[in-house]
Amino acid sequence: MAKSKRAWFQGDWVTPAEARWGLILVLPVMALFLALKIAPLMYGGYLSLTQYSLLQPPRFIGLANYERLFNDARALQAFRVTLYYTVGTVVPATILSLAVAVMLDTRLRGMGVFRTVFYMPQVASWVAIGVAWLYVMNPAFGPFNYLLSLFGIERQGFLASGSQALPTLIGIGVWRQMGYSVVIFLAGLQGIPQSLREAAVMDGASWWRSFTQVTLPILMPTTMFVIVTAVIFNLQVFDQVVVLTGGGPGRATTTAVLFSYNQAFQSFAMGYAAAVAVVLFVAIMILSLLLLGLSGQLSRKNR
Amino acid sequence: MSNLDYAPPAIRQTRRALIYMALIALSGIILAPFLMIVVLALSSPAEVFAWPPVLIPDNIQWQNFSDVFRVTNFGRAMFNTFVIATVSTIGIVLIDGLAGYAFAKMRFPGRTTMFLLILATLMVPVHVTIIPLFIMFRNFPLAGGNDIFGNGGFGILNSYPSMVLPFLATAYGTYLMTSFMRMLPDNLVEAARMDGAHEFAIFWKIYLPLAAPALTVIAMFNFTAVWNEFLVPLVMTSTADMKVIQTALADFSDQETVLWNLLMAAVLISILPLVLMFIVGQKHLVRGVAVGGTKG
Amino acid sequence: MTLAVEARDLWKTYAGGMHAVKGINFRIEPGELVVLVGGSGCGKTTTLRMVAGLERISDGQVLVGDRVVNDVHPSKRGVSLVFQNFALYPHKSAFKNIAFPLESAGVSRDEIRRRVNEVAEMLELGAHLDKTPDGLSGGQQQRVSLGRAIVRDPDVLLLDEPLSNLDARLRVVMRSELKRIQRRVGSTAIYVTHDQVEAMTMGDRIVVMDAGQIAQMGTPAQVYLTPATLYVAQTIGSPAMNLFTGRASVAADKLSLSGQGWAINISGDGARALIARLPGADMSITAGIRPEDLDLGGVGAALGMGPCVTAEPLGSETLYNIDVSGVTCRVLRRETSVSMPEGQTAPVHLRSGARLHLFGADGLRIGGTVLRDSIGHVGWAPDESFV
Repeated sequence: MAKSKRAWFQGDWVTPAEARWGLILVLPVMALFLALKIAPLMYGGYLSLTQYSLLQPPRFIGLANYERLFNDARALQAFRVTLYYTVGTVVPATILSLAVAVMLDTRLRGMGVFRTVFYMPQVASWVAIGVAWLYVMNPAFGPFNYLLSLFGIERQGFLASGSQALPTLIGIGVWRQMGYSVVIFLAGLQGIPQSLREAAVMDGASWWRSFTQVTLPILMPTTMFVIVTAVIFNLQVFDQVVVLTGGGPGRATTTAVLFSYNQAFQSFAMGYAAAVAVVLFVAIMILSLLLLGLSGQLSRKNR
Repeated sequence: MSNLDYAPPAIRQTRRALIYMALIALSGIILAPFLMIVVLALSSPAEVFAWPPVLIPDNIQWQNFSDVFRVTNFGRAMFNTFVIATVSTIGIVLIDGLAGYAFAKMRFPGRTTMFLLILATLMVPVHVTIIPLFIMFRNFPLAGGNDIFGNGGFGILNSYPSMVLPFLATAYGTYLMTSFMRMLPDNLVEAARMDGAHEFAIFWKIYLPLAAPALTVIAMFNFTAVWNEFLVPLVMTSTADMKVIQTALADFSDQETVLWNLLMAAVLISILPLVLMFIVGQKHLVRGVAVGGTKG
Repeated sequence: MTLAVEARDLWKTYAGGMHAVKGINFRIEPGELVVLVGGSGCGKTTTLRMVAGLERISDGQVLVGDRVVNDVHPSKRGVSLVFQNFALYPHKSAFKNIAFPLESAGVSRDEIRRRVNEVAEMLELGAHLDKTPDGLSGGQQQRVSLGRAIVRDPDVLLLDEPLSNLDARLRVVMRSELKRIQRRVGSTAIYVTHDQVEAMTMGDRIVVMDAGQIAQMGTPAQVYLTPATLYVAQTIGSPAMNLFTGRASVAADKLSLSGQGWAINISGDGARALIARLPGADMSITAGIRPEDLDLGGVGAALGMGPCVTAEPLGSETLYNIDVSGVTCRVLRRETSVSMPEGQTAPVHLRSGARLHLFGADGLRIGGTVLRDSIGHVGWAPDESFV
């Protein structure tokens, strides 16, 4: 080599104009994210360390809100309800969706119509389908109770019953979650190269063997995506609870976000409400990271 | 799978029939509440409480749909919803288009850091930011009767901006757009630069038109999301004239009674535009959901 | 107008400290078509992109005419570039694609129409101007991309592997087509390719690049007949040159080249001249002989011998692969059918007029060209006599 030279510049943008325009194009976006996501997040963290009722300026009280939270039976119950709801919804919805997606992947006639049908609950708002379910499950005149009566089962309280409200909510949650999961599973299934299945057939694998040995492992990333997004989404359960039960009867269906909302806008305990939100946020982060770590481990094992 | 099925024809047909039956049964469960919405929307108040429940109303009550707008100010709510959904969608398409192009195709200092920062906010759910945003909007200086320090009034609460702004910073859209822009060829930037196009013109004339499919997906997602949003309007507005569809649906009930037939007529009216949009743009939407699932 | 292009001590160093181009110099005369050829990662494309202005110049200068263009915007350098995969704007018609540089420059609508039509006529694109790229064949896309490059009448036309996305038959057609258009437009052209056939057939001169440096610059004949390095010898020519490793030892007036299973003895005046140019009396060398300079059987001593491994009929010629002590030796004979069955042992001879290239341990050419005369003696001639 004739001579060796050190790189005299740091970045590798071509012209100053490119670097300048790149920044100009990105800046509005960054400003929005800073103002509407990052600043509120940090402000929320600060609020959670204060006592604030909107009337007087926030008063710094350290970790008192968190201390209160972990000794507050109502708050702890709200987190418990949230966890039950999430597990109760995500597990059956995922299994059912996978089954439906596998059925839809058989390339029979009319599969597009079924896919549209299963996605329908995702298109309507929680409020819209919430009131529909509210009617269907009404203890006094709801059609579901009528259906049960045809089988000789007496009227049930469902959403109005302390013991049945949460399971009913979960059932409705599964009903809606499926639409999203089916579409993603179906895309994942259709992304599996036909040649792999042909290879499995050539190797003489039964349907079940080729499903568990070939399809499922390849579908693992899709499955983890479905589970993680569903967990993140369902831990924030709010709309459907407000519409269907208002958190009742009693506090049987008061979830974490609803509890936080009530603290903020009914008790005007902004600091405490922020603390609840922060704890839920941290819980969501830890859970997602755990799930992602788990999926990483699983895919490594399959390699 | 079907073309790899070597089972005897009889077994194959039975299997196919079973799959159809299972799918039809499940579809019934999925569609039942929607059926109830349609039935009730066309029923008289008495039929709502009939036992056994009415499946086909005696006299189809078309006037329910006009009553919706007479009994409550649902028209205003629909208008409000349409405005915030449209404005936020246009905003998001422009913002995500810009950001996606810059992150995918341009080289500038701090690019990776900024992209990661935005990606990190994917993890930040609305419920964490909603209370701080409420306070920030309430204390917005020099608006809604506020002094320069943001005290005294209601800031920008009860306004369109308070319902549009929370949606503008969506990491998901930026991420989706960046992935799509990355799939477009790089050398068009260089070709256009050689051809003497202005840096902004390269984005505006070349890449924005090419990103139309992805922008359509993002626009449809966002329009649907804002149209259906409940928490943000609930927190940010309290006046009657700022109600949106999702908060206005509560007006069809009070402590004692629910006007079920009018409520369902209103629900039907509110769902219809989305269903139409979904059916028209189904292919795009499904692909958009799928991209998230297979690339995520 | 047409201008010269010059590179002066041109360096490209990436942020990690990797050198892609290491201080190269060249001057391309106005109207000349020069081909940069070399394997992947040799720095040819980086060099082209630095001339285009798409890659920042780490050190050194690029001149177009008399002007240093290091800090000039790509579109203001008077250069245009034809991209490897065409880089056509997919949503614009062929007309709009060709018109784009003119639009960007603010040329009037009538003028744009006139010039695009003129270019389209030259490229025989008239019937396809309304189509978008996905409605055009590969060859037509190639022409549109060429049209976009020449429509603003560039001083310098840069072509980055423009034929690599076309199928083999079209590539041959476009080769002469491109050269014809370059001649007609009159722009200076720099053409990057990894394909040595393209380099040989198209270039007025060839620049062979290796590891970020210029291995040799010269006319196709110079590069072919007197390769300056082992790398050039291996890169240029197809089928590739045979390389025999061994030693050169001098005894009195005789020079003997030999290695495992092969030997060549050189005596006479040629040997004396050659010995005078060798750096030592006993050294390791690589002897390179092109397949067409070898024959199976002939007068005098054989270079070596071995069994025929495979015979590949190429049409007018047949390529024999002979296993000479573990080294596959390629011999090209002008015959339309295979005359030597596989497995048969044959002697390998130098043809009359054959050229033998010697390379030292450092890979550089030494000693000029060794020639074999018609009666079997091996002689010598200086490289200069081939230029």
